[in-house]
Amino acid sequence: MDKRTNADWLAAISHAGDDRENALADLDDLLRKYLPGALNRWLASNDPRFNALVDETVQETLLRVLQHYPAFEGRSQFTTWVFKIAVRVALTDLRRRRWKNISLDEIEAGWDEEGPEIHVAIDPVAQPERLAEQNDVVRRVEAIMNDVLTPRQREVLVMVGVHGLPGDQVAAMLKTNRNALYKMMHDARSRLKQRLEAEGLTTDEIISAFSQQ
Amino acid sequence: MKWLDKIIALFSKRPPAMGDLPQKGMPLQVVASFAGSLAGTQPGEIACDEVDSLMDGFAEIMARGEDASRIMPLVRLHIDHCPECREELEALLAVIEAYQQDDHHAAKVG
Ligand SMILES: [Zn+2]
Repeated sequence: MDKRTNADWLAAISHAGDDRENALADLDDLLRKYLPGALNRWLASNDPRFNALVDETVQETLLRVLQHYPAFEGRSQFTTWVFKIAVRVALTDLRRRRWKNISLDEIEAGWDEEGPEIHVAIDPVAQPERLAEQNDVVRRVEAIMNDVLTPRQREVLVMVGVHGLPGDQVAAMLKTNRNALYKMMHDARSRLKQRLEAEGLTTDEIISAFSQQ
Repeated sequence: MKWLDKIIALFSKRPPAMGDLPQKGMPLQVVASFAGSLAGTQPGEIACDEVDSLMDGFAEIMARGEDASRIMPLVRLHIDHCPECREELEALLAVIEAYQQDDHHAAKVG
């Protein structure tokens, strides 16, 4: 295998020419050799779409390497940095494929401008042994969530928690990005934590109220 | 940390698919895992972009068998709250472990 140092990789890639072409060809080989093994947990390697996924990921990764190598800070091996880019490209693509048929209209049907109300489903038939006090805690937490969280935050919670959408897809649907979505939900967690503490509800109490026997 | 084990157990149950939901209510375990994640909520959390810029270093520390969570606690905290970054870290680890194994092997042979 290659024995390039980080400086070797950068020197080769930073100037157009044979060295750059050779370096890119080596990265191409490395990606094709090591990426598929990590992706088959999400898409079976005998799936007809698998090879196309690998092809597209490798191409996009090499483009991004050329675009972003000046920002490489040398905090890891250069190859690890390239693998990181590839993994993000591939998994983002896989999540998008999986969820592309769900539309925001479908999810938002029936909500008004106040956003969705959080309603926790307790199925008395499936969980006949639940205690009344457990259900009380659940209803209290539910009421606090509806009171404390913004309509947007409740919307995200429902999209992620009820519909099972991944964060980057929610971000795309709401025309924001994954980073901003994380910050928004961090704010939601902070608000809720403060309020639950103020109301004297402990994490243990909540977890035991929400566990199913 | 017993509560953490409970949360992980709750997390590992995937929420039911859309069609299975009675009145589109939120499953108990979803709210429980959200409520559970409050215990680990801190003021100075970093978001996905910053984690992305640190993830290659974090994965290499893990691959060396060192305590990455102690060395880079803010990345660990984010990974606990963010399923997308978590699965990207898992996949990255799988790639670099396979690569390093071959590399070691080649070094021994060569
Ligand atoms: Zn993240």
